[in-house]
Amino acid sequence: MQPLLEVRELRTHFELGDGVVKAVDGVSLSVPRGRTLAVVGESGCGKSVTARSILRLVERPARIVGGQVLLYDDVAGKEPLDLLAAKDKRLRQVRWADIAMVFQEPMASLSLVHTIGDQIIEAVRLHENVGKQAARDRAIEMLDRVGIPDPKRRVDSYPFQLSGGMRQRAMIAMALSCRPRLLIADEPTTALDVTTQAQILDLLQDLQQEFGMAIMLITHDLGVAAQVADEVAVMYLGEVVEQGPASAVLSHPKHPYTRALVRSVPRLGQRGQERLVAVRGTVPPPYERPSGCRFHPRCDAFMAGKCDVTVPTRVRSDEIDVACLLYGEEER
Amino acid sequence: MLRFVARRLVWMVITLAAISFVTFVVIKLPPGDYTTTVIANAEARGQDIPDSQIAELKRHYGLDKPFLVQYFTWIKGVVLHGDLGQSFAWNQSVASLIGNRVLLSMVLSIASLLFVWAIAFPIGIYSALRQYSAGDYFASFLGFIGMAVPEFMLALVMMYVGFRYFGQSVGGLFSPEYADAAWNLGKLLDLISHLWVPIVVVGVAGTAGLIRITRANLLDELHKPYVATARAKGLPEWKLLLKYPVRMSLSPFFSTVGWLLPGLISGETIVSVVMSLPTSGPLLLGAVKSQDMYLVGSFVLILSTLTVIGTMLSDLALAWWDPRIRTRFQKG
Repeated sequence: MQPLLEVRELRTHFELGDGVVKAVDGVSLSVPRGRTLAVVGESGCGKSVTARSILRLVERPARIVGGQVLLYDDVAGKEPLDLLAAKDKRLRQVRWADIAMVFQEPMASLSLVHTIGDQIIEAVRLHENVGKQAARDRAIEMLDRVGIPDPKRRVDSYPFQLSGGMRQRAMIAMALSCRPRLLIADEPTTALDVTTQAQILDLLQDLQQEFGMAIMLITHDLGVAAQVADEVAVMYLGEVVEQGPASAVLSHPKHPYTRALVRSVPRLGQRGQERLVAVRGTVPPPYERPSGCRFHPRCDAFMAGKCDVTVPTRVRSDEIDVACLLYGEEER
Repeated sequence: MLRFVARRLVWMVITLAAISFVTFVVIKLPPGDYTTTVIANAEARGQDIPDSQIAELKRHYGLDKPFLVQYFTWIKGVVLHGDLGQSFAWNQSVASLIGNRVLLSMVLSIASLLFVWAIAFPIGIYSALRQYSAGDYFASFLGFIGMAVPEFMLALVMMYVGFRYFGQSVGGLFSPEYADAAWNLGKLLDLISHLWVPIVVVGVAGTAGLIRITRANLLDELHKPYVATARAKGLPEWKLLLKYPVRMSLSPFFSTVGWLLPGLISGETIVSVVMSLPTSGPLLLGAVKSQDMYLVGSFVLILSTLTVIGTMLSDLALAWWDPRIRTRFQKG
């Protein structure tokens, strides 16, 4: 089946005074329709920059230097729209109407001097030809839908009058107010406590059932990914090293990096004496990417003369796409 | 809100009472009084004033009474009859003496204030949005020059240029033929044709300062997440910048706008002396020099009243502008 969104060889670089940081360097992934894709990886692996690059929201000194972001139409067979090549006006139409975003800090990503209603109504009226009252009714309906009590009153509240969890709910209400086909949630629960986090994740899943939208969830938390994702894409140093069904990737990971990540997560029922295994080594400095496979200096399955020379290409192994030289020769 | 205003008004009255008393004390601190000036002037003319006449003068002006009696007589007149007392040097009531000048001062100050805002805000906003562009550097350059050149210097240069190249009668707010004429259209036009020079002179430093402040405030806001949210919503760039970060960046401005009020009648003293403008600044300077105590006292009282009112107006303006402040007022 045709995906909803396909990112091909996306490259976003930070052009700094003392060099170029290739934060995103050849990311390819696809978001299936109506499902949830979790993009996981350590801090600094480029997952947030990838998310922002999709809607061209990166700011100086970051610059998208290459690749394609293809948004497919609902009608099969129609040419997809390349968001990176689209005109500004066309892109603004796609923003929020087709692809909406929820950010990490609800307090910082909502304007504190405008009411929540004002900010939702603005989005609705920007993309749909509706009157003020109809847009306001929509805002109240959405606030009600995301579980904000007393939405008729809350619509006139300012974000600082709500708790953190409620703020993120309001942000989600705003994101869904134009019925987007894709919701990009960039660490939506990182700033919240664990109980609230679980509630927000449940809410996202309910809303996905109801609205049938796809979700691209950016998270560093494998537990969160396991809870909600249908598909998982694992990123390392600006690349996707592995993408596949969540159950397969998280229980039988192919890439040595994913294996190491999964091993480093504590499990319920794990014996107390067992030490958690951290991923060996440290993330290399941003200006120097290792040659060959970027993970080779930290890899347990390092093959000298091969991994440090050859750049691995993506191959399919079982249901998983993986970029590792351990795979492929026989399956290719 | 009403309770807040009422409480502030009570505090204002107490503050003003304290200020008026302290002012009176300070005026009385230097040795001697107005008669000292009279004697000095007489001696300068080679005359000698007999002691009996000095005693007569003291009695006439009430300077022979105890300090507290002098103070309460004066303040009673101010509070009960709005009578600010007599100016010794001018032998006129203080009210009639400063009335006209205060009006002209306010015309000049308000005009230059509007000049400052009209120029500084657009340039400051432009400078921030196009940070490090040629236009930004140019604005910064002009800004630094504007702040560094003293006002009196600028006044002298402009008067020279006005006289030398445009044949304008320099100095004052009126041409000689209108100076003592009654108000009519000709006099008004004459005033306007003279007013622009002091407006520019008084306004340049303020403009330069406000450009820097606007630019810095806006740069602080430009990269906040809520701006990214607005962009993700698909708002056109200029619209979102004006609605969100520019609005946020003006809050500090509102919190200081009230301080401009006292400056309206005393801000341009040096320029007024240099350009011999019939405003209130030079009058105050002269009164302080000759220990014309009721004139000085009234001036300080008017200035401090304006300061206190200005601060309160500032707070109210800020509450009106920023809901975070407003909701706090409403609670307490």
